[in-house]
Amino acid sequence: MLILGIETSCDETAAAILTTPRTLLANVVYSQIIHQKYGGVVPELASREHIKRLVGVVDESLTRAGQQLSDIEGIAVTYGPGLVGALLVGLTFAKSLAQAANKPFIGINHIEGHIFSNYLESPECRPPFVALVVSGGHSSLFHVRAWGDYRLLGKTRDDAPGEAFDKVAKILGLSYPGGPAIQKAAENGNPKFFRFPRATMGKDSYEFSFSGLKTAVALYIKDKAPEFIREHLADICASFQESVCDILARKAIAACRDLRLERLSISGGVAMNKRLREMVEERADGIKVFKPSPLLCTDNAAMIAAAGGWHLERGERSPLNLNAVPYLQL
Amino acid sequence: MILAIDSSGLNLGLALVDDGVCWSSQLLKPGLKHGEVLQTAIADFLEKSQVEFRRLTAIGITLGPGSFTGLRIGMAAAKAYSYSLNIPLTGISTLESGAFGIGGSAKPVVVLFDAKRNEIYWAVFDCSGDTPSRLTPDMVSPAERLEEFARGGCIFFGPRSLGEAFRRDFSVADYRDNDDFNLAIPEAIRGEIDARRNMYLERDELVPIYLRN
Repeated sequence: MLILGIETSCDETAAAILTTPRTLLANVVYSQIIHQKYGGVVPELASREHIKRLVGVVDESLTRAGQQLSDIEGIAVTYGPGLVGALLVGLTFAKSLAQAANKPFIGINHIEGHIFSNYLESPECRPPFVALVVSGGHSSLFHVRAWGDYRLLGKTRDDAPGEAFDKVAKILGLSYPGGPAIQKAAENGNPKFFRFPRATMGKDSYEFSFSGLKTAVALYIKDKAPEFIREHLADICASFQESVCDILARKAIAACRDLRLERLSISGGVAMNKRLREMVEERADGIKVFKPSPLLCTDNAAMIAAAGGWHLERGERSPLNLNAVPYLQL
Repeated sequence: MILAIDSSGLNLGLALVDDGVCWSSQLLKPGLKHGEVLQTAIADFLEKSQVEFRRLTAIGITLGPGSFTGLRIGMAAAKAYSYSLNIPLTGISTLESGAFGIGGSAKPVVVLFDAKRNEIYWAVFDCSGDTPSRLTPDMVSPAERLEEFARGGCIFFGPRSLGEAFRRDFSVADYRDNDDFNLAIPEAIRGEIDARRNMYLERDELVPIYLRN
């Protein structure tokens, strides 16, 4: 089945063409650069960029795949969670395209899309497994009992890890987005320079919390001289990164052990972080870890097309009055 | 046959125009639910009008100003229809479309919509001829800016909710409600003329008329 996937839930305007189950023919991502100067995503500007770019991005995906719209056999689009105005651009476009071209249509949960990024690249990533989805907007741990059947084990009670990276980068005067900036600054730093707190949320909990960590970094540098911060920037970044990755890796591995599962999938923008990838592997001890390639970690439509293809092939369809759901749960 | 869509405000206006004649039109009041109802409303409307998608030769859209999200919903749909059916896109300002609501008036007409945050979207038109001609660009400003037009004896064509304030504060004598005026009809008529002259909009990067940041 030839699928067109569309994703506009945040600040990436994306379209992809995929033959089910996992032959990716085109994966086009337009990353909106306008938000950089504001140090974070401005929702109204994100929507404005989506309406301006979407046709071009969809057209480009078809061209790169060497396909015509008439060849497409199903359309999949993100309908939540995300920024409501941004979601509505992609969702409305996809619904109208499906309607006028008379194609099967399905709305996809963005989080499920992230889990499918490992489905796309690794056929051996088979349920049951544990999935850690970590990004600028999400931090959730799932028990994937089967494709399409997810049990939430825990999620963040406040900030997502990507958000913590952004906020700490801002505190330290680094650029946006914070994830890559901190990773780069941390490269030659000592991760044991300072032990920032790890919020475990109780011994057996799979919940996360990152807002305290951000505050801890702010408090730590508050009474330090600018020269000290400059001199130890790499150490501070490495220590902060170590704390985030430690918590994520610890809980993900613990979930695998508790549920006696041998496979762990990590995905989402923060799954691009080298230290997190490394740390999960170091602690895996027999657990097979699946990590998407970087282009499939950040928001993209390939994962939406993959998830959409899976559901569409099972005969599932969404109604044309499907609405955007900004706080959609999986 | 052109299909025009207006989702710039609380209404959802639809119109089908063929050879200068309005074949069918519909004014729905979905409030802020355009994102949910648009496609099904259009499907019902086309079915009732006995017109299939493949008969359409152009898509018309009101460009704004208006509700940012509403405008983008209409425009995302219009772009998708245009792209999918490979037909051109046309569009005019919501204020210009509104000016068609007052025909044959000797006095200038101020068309206005509520821009919220204590501001008004507005423009002034000469409506004495067959089609309105523009006397000002589309503007957004506090209502006070319209006082001079009220003193000049213009006709005001705006939402019912603002009528009382304009009559009271600026002594507007002739204020007419535009809540039930289907902006898609003039858009379709004008759009069809534009399409026949090959005056299309560049679809891919088209954005609404926002008027503010």
